[in-house]
Amino acid sequence: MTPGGIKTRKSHGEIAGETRRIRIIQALSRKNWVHNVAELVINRMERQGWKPYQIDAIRCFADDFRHGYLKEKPCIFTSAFVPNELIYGLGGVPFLPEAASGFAASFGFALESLTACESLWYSPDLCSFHRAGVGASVLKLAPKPAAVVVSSQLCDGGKRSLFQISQYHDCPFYILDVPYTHSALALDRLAKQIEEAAIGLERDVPDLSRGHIDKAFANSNVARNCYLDLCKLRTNTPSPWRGSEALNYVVLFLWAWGSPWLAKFYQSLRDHAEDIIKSGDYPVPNEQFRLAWLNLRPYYSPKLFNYLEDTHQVSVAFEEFSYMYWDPLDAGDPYMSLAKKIMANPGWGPIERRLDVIDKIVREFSIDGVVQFAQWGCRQYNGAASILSDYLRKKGVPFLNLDGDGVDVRNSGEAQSITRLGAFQELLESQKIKNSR
Amino acid sequence: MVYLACSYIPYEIPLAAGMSAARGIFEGPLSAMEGYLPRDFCPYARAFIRQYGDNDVVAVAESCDAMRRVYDVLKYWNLARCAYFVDVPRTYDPEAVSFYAEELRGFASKLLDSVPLPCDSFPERLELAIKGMNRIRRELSGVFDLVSERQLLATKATQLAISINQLLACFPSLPDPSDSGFSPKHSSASGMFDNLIEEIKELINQALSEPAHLRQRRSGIPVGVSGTCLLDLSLIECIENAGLDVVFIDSCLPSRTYAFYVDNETTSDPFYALAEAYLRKMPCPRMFRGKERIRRLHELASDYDAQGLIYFAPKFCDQAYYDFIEIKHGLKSLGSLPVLFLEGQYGVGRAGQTLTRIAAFREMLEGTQILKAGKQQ
Amino acid sequence: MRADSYVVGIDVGSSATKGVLLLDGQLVSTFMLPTGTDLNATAGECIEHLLQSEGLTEKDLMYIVSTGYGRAQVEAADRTITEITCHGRGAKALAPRAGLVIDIGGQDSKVIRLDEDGMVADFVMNDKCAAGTGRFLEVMADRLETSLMDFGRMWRAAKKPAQISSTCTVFAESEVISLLSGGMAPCAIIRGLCDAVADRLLGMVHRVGLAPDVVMTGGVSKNAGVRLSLEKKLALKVTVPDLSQFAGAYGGAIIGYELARREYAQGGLR
Repeated sequence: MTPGGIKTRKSHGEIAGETRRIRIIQALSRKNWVHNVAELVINRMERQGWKPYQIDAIRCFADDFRHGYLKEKPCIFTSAFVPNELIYGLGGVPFLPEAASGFAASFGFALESLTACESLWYSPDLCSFHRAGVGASVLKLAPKPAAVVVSSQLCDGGKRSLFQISQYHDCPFYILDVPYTHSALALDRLAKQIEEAAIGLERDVPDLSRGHIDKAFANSNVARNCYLDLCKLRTNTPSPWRGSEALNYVVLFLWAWGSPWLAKFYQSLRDHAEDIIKSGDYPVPNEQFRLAWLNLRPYYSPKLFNYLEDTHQVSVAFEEFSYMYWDPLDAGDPYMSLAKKIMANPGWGPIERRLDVIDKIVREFSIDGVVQFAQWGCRQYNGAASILSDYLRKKGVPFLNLDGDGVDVRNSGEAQSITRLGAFQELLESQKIKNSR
Repeated sequence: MVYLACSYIPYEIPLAAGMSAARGIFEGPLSAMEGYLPRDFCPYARAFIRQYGDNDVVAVAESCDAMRRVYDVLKYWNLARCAYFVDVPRTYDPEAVSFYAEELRGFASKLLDSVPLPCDSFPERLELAIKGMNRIRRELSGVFDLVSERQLLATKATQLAISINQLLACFPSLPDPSDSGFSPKHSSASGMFDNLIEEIKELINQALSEPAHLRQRRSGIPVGVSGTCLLDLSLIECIENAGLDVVFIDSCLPSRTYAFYVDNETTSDPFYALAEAYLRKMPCPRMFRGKERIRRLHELASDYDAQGLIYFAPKFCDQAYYDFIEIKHGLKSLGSLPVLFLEGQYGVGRAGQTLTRIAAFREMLEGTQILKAGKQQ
Repeated sequence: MRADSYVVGIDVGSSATKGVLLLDGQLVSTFMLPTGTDLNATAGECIEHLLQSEGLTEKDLMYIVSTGYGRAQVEAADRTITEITCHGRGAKALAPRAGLVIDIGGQDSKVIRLDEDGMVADFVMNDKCAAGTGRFLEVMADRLETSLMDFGRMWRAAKKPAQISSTCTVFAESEVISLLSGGMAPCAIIRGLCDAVADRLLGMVHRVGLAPDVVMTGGVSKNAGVRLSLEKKLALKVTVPDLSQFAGAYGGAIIGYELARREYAQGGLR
């Protein structure tokens, strides 16, 4: 089937992008012994001294992947910003194709996924996080979804690409059509939709039951508390954690709310940050400037961040996507509680909401400059560049809109990006000299 | 004057609030406004960014990522006297209709805040506006029936739809029902719609009185046209000049603006009636209504014997890019209707590459027809 | 229709204008010259050469079909037909088993799937700028101070391709500069460039559907490097007919011959 709903055209037994190594991964990802070996490897990594938070993050994904690929639990595909407490609360595991695109890019599989997607008429002008997500699904790099749940926030590509994935796999599809403007009626409508989706999932997908919601909510709230502690630690100067790494773990922030592993991960990470501050062994020891990073990052190459963090000692102190925006969840009123969480997303609603959050980040994290990674095809964020630039300029905060692509290396001129970051660093430098006079 | 940014925002509400209203149709982005949105943005969104007149307001819907940012830009930079946001649901179900009815009620109340009109007269005016717009939609539907019957060029019909939109932009304020002598049954307000309908009929007659070779189609291969927004007339003109007969157009202007009827008789709440009708119409690509778009496009193609479909995506319009994938594969599964994908900016129909693609598509359809005929013999 | 019925197909491309002369449906002569600024004059010159080569005059010509991006400028043409249809027909005539035609010209590239009758079943053209076209390769060849005709030899000399990710002319050029400054061998870069073009074509090929008999036409078909990369990516042999550059003009001439016969039978042609 194509995402449009008909049989995929296969030629010579292959679909575009289905290279030999992709076929090997397809096969291996569905073998029980591979997941057993993965567990042994993780144990060994732990013994070899990998940091506890790294191990927890890997275990979180390994656990969900095992359940998803081996069909031990129903695998529910969700778009970014669906509250996955709902999925864990039903006894399933989530899979986020958009977030998985970042994985694919960092492991070097993105081009195959993109090729598969383009051969099905997806325009290269669409956001590559969504294209690679569809491609990974078509190439069976992703597990098979039992159902798909999307929320209409934040962007059009997320919901539409997942709808097409649901068509491709011929599985139930639920949309949470999130109202854009805030009102009691809007919240009611959304809460009802979440409840209907939960009832529908329970009805349509074997082995899903709403009996786990309390546990998932409790996990989420514990993780939230640890996370807030971590955020406080990240206000420290110099930064106790590399922003480049934080941007990698944004995937987990989008993915695992409701999972028991997320609380463990943030606990370990909080402890790690505390240790760093105590020991003074900072990852960017001579921190010259602190940046706030908006949107995601290129996942196929570390060069931009090496250039910033190592060459110029510029820290990414905090990321827009890491901002905690919701109140603790209430298991007594689960659907309304999730509706409130969704509606609290600062990326949804008039731009003032996003500006407020950026303003808070700038103040709380002592930010010297703001970089928006202008992901190719991301109308949702890039469309605000002129406003961000004006707003931050008036506040005296330098702003850089950095064109690039997080997944599709073909859309990215790394040399040009480095030149721009270099110029931005010089600008921060001159501003500092000016301010010191 | 209220500039509407989406076919899901009812003309009826601003008209009833005593404001003229028209769909924002432009000739392209203004170079002076280039800095407000990135260049990799849909040309319609970029064209919508302009400095509006002192008395102009804009109503932007939750159409897509791009239009949400258009709203932000218009508001942040004060480019219009006022910018309203209309939150249009993506689904068509009772909850969505109720929600949208409330949203429209809110929109009306915001508009009424800015006009010196007694609120208590609004319901009657809204009723008149709904009736009036129903009549205009019926007239326009008649025009496009002629297109489907191959009695009128789609270019001419689309031009007519644009002219009617311009007439609505000049529509004088409805008289206030609280004025002495006002009677909804036989009122001057209704008379004003009568005048408008007369003007529309005159426009249509003018178009139909043109020499047949100017207004009628040649006997080309019938095709349909679909997409989010056609931007301008050049594409339809190019298709017809290339020797293909456009028998239906599925786009926000014209078809999704006129091809429906608001039933205000079966409900006492006109906002509910509006919400129901606007959400029920042929779904636009942003909507999530399963395979209904594909089914209805397939029906249109069957009804009018279209041999192919030309799908137009404004460059960087994500909704269109995704919609096309569903249409291309969906129509294929329903009977192999060939689909040509085109994308471009304003003036796309004047680009040589567009003409080449359309001509090649025509040649391909002709080849198929010759082959079919040969095999039948 | 007389037995000595001459028909010309003329393909006015962005880089070169190609002409093919047929006598009673059979290929007699070909001619190619660079496309000048006056497209009609260039086409006229091409037709003139074809006629002279056979000692003919304009009066001997039954029909002229023009194709290519400058097709509408050819005043002498009896009929204009798009290069998609013409390349499809020409490729089928040059390689009768052809199921898929990949045509890469100076300013665009197209992939055409043919049905069992040799008719165009679907097609796709590149969507923007010079990415992956002949012009792109020319810019890269200039940057590497080599000629396009050398690409095949250099491709074979490369042990493995350099990683070139972009077919955007600007991005790729900066990648090439950075690879050169990093000491990468030009032949590896050339192979990388050919791979990048082939990758881009691969997506287009799968959009219309891969068919087993792939034929390459257009100016870039003479560039063995791109063909080798394509063969590797598709895991298929790609046929490049001798007259691959003339496929469009040849297809136009064949269609012209059929049209002339039909019109002659209907009494509309001398």
